[in-house]
Amino acid sequence: MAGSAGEALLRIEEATKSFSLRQRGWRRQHVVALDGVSMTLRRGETVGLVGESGSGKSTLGRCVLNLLRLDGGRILYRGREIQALSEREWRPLRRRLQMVFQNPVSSFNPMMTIEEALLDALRQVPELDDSRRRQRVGELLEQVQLGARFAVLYPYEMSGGQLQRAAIARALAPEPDFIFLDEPTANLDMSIRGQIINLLLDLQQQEGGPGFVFVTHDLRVLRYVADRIYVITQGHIVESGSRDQIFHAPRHPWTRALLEAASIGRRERRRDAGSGVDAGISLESSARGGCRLLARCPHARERCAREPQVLREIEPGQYVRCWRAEEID
Amino acid sequence: MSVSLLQIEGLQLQFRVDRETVYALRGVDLSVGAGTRTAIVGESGSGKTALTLSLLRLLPPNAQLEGSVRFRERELLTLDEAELRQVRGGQIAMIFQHAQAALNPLLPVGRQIADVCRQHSGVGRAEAWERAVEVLAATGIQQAAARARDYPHQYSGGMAQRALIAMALVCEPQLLIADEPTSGLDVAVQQQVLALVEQVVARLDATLLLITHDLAVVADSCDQIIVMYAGEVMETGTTAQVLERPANPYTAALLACFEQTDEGRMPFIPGRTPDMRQPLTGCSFAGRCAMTRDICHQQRPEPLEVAPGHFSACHFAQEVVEA
Repeated sequence: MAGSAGEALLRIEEATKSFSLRQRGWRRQHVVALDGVSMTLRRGETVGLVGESGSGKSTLGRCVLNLLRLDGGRILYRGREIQALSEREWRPLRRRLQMVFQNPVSSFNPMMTIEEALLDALRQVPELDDSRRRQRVGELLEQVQLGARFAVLYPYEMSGGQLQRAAIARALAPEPDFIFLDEPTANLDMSIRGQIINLLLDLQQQEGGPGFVFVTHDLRVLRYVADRIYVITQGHIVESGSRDQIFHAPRHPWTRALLEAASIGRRERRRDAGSGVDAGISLESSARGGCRLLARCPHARERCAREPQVLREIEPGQYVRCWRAEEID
Repeated sequence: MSVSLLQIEGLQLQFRVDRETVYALRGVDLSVGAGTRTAIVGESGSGKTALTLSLLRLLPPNAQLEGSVRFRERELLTLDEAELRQVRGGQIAMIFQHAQAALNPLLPVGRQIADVCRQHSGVGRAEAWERAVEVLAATGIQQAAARARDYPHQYSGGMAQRALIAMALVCEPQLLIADEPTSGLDVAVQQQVLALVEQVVARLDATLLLITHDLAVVADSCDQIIVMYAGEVMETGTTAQVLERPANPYTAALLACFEQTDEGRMPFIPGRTPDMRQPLTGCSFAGRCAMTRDICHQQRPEPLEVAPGHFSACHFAQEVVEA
């Protein structure tokens, strides 16, 4: 967060975003999707963002790509606040920020071959002429380990894993500075997730390659690819740190719960997990003034209900939003 | 192994789709012991959901089902609709994958539970309602009497799953089938739902059949494992046997994908699942297996017993288990 600000490719500062649901009489109901989220992505770095469905991770992605406007806070791309740019200023930058979606099948036009889809993406690179673009299609397919023979195929002719690699090729096409990967492995079976993860490992090795924000609810896959990890829930970052800090010395109860759920035979604790936890408690009824996770936390104390929790640095580079982080083990 | 509650033999399920045949189950033999907690593990398309839907014959009209399914010595595949209706929900209850979608959006949750109760135990309206409130409370829903009058959209995902468990609980079934009961729920809720399912099964002294793709879920929820791949049973045994000494190359490869290391690359299984529109001559995993030899393409492996109660459908099961 501090120190290397000069190298930051992307900085998100105190981002907030809420959606209004419906108007009931005089009152309007709001859902807070992002509540003061800050994060930094350095050049060529892979940052993992872990959260459940509804935690705000996809909203963050859409704000970063300038598809949604923040209510508060700033997003700086190479030091420029993207939400303050005019359409004309933003347009040339747009191709530098790419996205890969969760469902590879629905993210391709079923009427286009893979080559046509990639040529479409390459149209954003004005310095290439037609023949160079065709050549690039072959190179991109090689780069994602598919090979040129896939160029003529339609999406329905490919498996989910192959199609997701094609989606990564398409994101690479406009030569982006970073790619936002939104649950790229969630729709794939465990036995083939490794194909996508290993491809990312190869792309990370390339000099001058893009940085990645890898959004997932499955911590397992981040262990291989992430340099740093942010844990988000209910629109809040509850913990952040290096991959080793998060995997070997997680401090927040929520991070620990995520890790336990992802590993075989580490769940002895679940047997008594009934303690103080109730699934029926909705976001609204969680203590407004106190910790958001109060209702779900087995370590909750009376103080948790009174004080809002703040993100604090517990180890160099590791931030935790829990006052009891040092005590619970 | 305990007395068999459910005995499946030579179960074949095919779907006719546009003049083509999809082979969803290719001759499944298995037995589920009374009082066990058995997991069916498999990836998408392995046939795990097709298998459970076949048990209750909840299949579309283009399905062709052959073989034998005996539940407490009674053949289910020849029952008429009326008899089947008594078994469904009554003796065999099912918890479906998407709880919100499994509930009727137009009826209060309590009413739906009461209806099931009346259908199977013949009690009156008022008593059925009381029972519904009771089971909702038993699954941990607070202020159950009030929440019973709510509609499904007023429930969170975790609560809807609890309501489905309550619905399964109300008839005191002997077999409870839970098909990916935790998918789409957040981790804290997932663990509670699993714990609740286990609690309910223990309370009813029932047998649990848990369908999942997640080996992490299986490890501490179940005592028996059935591994499926491409419509076939690859391996069966106790949880310890299958997870610690897998005897099938597919199981071993899948387990490796769940392991976590700090260095190096993530394991995966190369290739893709076989075309389900083609009948198979050899082993269904032959195209992706690291140990494949000629015989694997020519001859379908029969289950081999590598240890008491531990079976693997692999020509080289003994080698795999010793490796």
